[in-house]
Amino acid sequence: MADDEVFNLPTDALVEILLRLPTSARRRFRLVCKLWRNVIDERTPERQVRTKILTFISHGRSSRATVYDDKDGHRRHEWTYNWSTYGGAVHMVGTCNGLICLHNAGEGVRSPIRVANPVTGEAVALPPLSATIWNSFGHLEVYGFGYHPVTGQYKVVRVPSRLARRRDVGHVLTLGESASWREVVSPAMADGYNPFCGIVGVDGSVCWFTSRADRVVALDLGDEQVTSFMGPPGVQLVLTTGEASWKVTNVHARLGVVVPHYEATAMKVEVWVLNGGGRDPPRWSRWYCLCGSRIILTPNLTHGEYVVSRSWDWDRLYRCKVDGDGFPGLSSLHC
Amino acid sequence: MASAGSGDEKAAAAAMITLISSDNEKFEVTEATATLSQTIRHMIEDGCTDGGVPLPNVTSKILARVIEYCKKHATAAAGEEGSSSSFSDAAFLEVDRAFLEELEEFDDAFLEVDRATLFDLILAANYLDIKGLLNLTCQKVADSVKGKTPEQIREMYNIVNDLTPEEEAEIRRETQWAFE
Repeated sequence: MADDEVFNLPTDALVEILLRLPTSARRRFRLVCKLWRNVIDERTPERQVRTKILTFISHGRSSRATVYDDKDGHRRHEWTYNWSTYGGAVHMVGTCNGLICLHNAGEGVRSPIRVANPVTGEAVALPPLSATIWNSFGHLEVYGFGYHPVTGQYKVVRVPSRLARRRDVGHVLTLGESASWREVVSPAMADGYNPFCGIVGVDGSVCWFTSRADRVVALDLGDEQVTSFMGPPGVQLVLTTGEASWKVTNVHARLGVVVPHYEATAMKVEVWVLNGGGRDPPRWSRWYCLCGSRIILTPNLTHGEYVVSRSWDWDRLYRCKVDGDGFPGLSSLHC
Repeated sequence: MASAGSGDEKAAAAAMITLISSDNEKFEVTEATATLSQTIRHMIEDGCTDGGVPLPNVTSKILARVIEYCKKHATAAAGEEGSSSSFSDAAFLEVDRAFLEELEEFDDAFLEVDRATLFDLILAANYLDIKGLLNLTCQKVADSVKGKTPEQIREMYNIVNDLTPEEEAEIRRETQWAFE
């Protein structure tokens, strides 16, 4: 007899079934039909819970990422990743929507970039740049990772190396598509990269500071146009890269710059945020001045309404509600 | 006294409940069995079970299976309550474990049904709000689709793919990397 049954379950029952599937299957089943896609998007944790990777610690042989719920700041998952090569150091390129992008300098020409989902354990190795581009100084390579909400694409950006012949040429790779590196040429990238200021994927762009640390360079992940604009009033031109103590970060899904001031007993952090609208001139405003030591400043400063600080050994994290200026005190997040 | 009288009546009536299937078949069950269903529990609490509980969404064939499940699990629930009072009794715990194993076997055998029946059981469990049964049946379906491709799912359940090529491309962009 022909097996011609119909999927006639009410939405509530479909939700019950989908909730019992592993995340990877659920994501795949968004392709079944409109109903399944909508139910997965709206009624399962798939897209509602925005997890964030908060801490990432790399030891010689393995790395550990801890994943937190974006809403309540509770730890959801801890993930250990064995990816190490001789002399290699794995570090986090960036994280968004619960995905983590890692760079292993020791992998050299092979495949130094991986993107992983710590909750499901899936990981993909991205293809290497062609050997002619690669310059044998793996540790000098700088990558950024971000998500463009309109196109729904994740992209990895390679900032021009300061040893490259052409310092205005960067590279971009879109996850999932043909997955090969494309050149992006812009004079806005020619002013270099300051490693002390970091790099962040936020609000549809990957952003970093120029080597003189006074201007921000932003590569739009939608049209891949590169712009550069003045940093907030809290930063200034530096003569050597190491003089810059400020960093780019994500503050409530906007580009932020944190400027730490070290005082005799405590640390104060000015938090500047780029307002919406044009970037010419950029409109920066000072949102907070945080006090406290070991606040986790990058890649995400805020986690919902909270900022997070850590114990000296990274074993404990504390969170505190941000209420305009500074913290009244830190409540324990977990241990 | 009037109030005491009605209380006695309730206690007497509470012992057995009559469930009436969509095809008008009557099933007599104990209150302990019936109250595994949150829906029926609320009806009992509201005192509207006199003259039987009509279940217009459940056929006699499915209701018989649901009652079979509830009877078995109501005994289990009673056993659990008992175990708390004799917690230190090792022999009792031993019995308990044997009973739980038996319960698992029962559940496995219970799920040996065709897909149409399984779906009917899910509908009934959802409507009657029986947590354990809903969990059991949904897990069974989840396990059977887990390793399938979207195409296989559509074939299995005669689902029409109504996503436009653009929508499909968009979903693929987001998910493709995870296939590898």
